[in-house]
Parts: sequence; C-alpha cells; structure tokens
Amino acid sequence: MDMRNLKKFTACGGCVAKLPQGMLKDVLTKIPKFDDPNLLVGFDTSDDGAVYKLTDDIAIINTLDFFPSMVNDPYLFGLIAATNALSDVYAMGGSVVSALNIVCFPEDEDPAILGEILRGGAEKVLEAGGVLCGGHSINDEEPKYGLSVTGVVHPDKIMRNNNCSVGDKIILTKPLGVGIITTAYKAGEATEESYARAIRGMQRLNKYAVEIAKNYRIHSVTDVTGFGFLGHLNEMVTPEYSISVKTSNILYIEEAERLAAEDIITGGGVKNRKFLQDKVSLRGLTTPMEEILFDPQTSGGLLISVHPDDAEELLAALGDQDPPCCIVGEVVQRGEANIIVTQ
Amino acid sequence: MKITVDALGLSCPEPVLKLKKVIGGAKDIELLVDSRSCVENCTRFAESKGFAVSVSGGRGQYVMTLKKK
Repeated sequence: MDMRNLKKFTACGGCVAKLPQGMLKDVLTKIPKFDDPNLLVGFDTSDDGAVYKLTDDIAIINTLDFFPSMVNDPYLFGLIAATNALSDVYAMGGSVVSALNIVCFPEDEDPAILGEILRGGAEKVLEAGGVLCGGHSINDEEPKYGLSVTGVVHPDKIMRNNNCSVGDKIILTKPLGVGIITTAYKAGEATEESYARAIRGMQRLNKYAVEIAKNYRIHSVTDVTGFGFLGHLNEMVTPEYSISVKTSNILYIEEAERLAAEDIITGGGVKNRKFLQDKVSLRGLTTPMEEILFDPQTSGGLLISVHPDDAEELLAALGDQDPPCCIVGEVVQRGEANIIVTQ
Repeated sequence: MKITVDALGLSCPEPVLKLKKVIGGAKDIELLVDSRSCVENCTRFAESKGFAVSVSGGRGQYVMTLKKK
C-alpha cells in the first residue's frame, strides 16, 4: 500500500513540518499565564511534556504530537508517528499509561490506508506498555497522524531538559541526518541503504535508552525532533552554563553530508538555522556539517546529560543498542554563546 | 533565453531540486516559490552555481531572478 497517490501528500512531513521556534515563542508570550503550584513543568522551559502533580507520589505527563507523513508506507507512518509522540514521556523520565489517536484523513480516500496507519500506531502503544483508548478524526485533504499521550512519573524523578551540571557529558542516542535523508529519498536522491537506516532509527522507542540511562547519574534528558540537534540542545542550556560540542564524535547518516553539500536540505532546517544563528558559535565547520546539526529530526534520539564519571559506562551499556549512540560534547562554564561547536 | 521555474506549492528541498534540473545550461532564470525558507535555500544554491540573485514579491509568492555572473 502506498500513500503517494493521495491528492495532497506533503514533501516535508514529520517533524520537518513544525512551525518555526521563534514564531511560537512570540505567540506564547501573548496568552494568559496559568499559576498553579501543581503544574511542575509547563510552557516556560520549552520542555518535552507538561507535568502536573496529582499527589506527592504521582505526577501525570501530558504530551501530544502529530504530523503529515514523511514516508510512503502508511503502516510505517503509523509506527513512526506513534514512536515520536510517545518519546516525550520518556524524555521526561516517565512511563506511558494511555494514548489517544489524532487523525486527519481525506474522507474520499481508501479507508484501508487509514487502517494501516492506525495499526502501526497501536502496535507502538502496545510495545510502550500503554493502552490505546480512543481518539478523534477530522476530514482533511492531507493525512496527518499522531497521539495524545498520558504518562506518569514520580514528582521527584522528573527528568527536566535544563538541569545539567558543569562537567556533564552529553550523549546522543540516534544518528542525525534523518530529515535530509527522508526528504531526499522522496525526491529520489537518497539511497535505499540510507533510507533504511533513517527508518530504523525513527521507529525505535526511546524507552529502551532511557531505561538503561536511569541506572546512572543523569541530570537532564530531552529528545531531538523538529528543531534539530542544535535546537533541542539549546533548550538544555541556561544562563548558568554553555554546552561545547565536537562534531568529530557525532554519528550521522553519512549520505546526509553529500546531500547537504548539494543544498538538498529541508525548509525546517533553514528555519532552525535562522532561530539559532545568534545562540550558537560554529567554529570552522563545513556547511554540510552545519546543515546536519540544524536538520529537523523526526522521532530522533535522546540527548542525555550524564555525570562525567558515568559517561563511558553509560555509553558502553547503551552499546548494543541499534541505532548506535555517541558522546557529542560536554557542559562547560558559561561562554559567549549557548553552544560552542568545533570540529 | 529566460527559463521560468514554477515551484509554488512546493516545500524545500523540492524547489532546489527543480532548479538543479535546469541550472546547468541556463543564464537567466525566473523562479517562483512561496516561502521565505525556500527563497533562502534556493538563493544559496544559485549563488554557489555562480548566479546573482534578486528577489521581489512577498508572502505567498516570491519571484526570484537568477542571472549568471
């Protein structure tokens, strides 16, 4: 089954389709503020999911994600969209309880395609150990799919995205380049092999990496999605510290570099660069490498800030994971930029 | 001879790919795109191929004029 024949099938699906980060930040300053002491994590810190304390032992995590497809196979789309939506619960240190489908689909198209999307999504919720318990569907020319997910976490064990300590190492758990590869593949410009690697990463639940990481002294976790590696790393930074990155250690799908050299990059990547250009200091990088760092990732890996003495051990423990993980940088004394990137 | 490339309604990198197909032998190209990020992406690509780029129009329809230097 193939979604390419649908009337409107976007070229830029997945997290590439996100609105620009700067635009969102501006808009959110204009809505009323909510002051509830039980809201432990809200808009303010651009964290992965919202966390609301119910009792001293239980907080619920609310998060939702949906987007147009970045692949032609509807079942695969369902798997990836659900993996991506579930990821925010893991990035907050929680576990998945339940999920609701979010569906946009053209009413005059083949319902079997929708069936395949939902089958993929439901399988991932099952793998996550959650319950799929309903949903909402809208007639829309362009198919979109995702989940609204509820998770739980102990209020003392919330994994925020900006609680790093100077000296921490930063680990990335999936290779970069996914946005460039999936978009180029659709246009016939990327190889089957690169595409297969991208697909493998996108349908891997971040649950597995976080379960291992919880055994170590980890201080912050976030996941890499539409704002790209640097965009999400930037959300880990506070005025107290900067993060230094060495690109020679970063794993990425190699063909993304060749494609970026031919200016085959996504509109989302261009938006990310614009938002981040005065926040990051890029020293001596090639333009294609810069593009990989700005590339929007769909269902990307986690960024884990871990105590330096635990970093190698955690990396080794994550070692037999597929896709592979890497140490990409460290938390340093506050410098002139939020993130300093060298070769 | 001026070549016109209509990339309206397409998102990056599709406009760049369309441009790539014709840029080889061309000296004078008019490229239509509908988003700011496509303008930036295509400008960089055209400049790397030795074209001077000027842009007119605005939200919804940008007209990019590409001339070989």
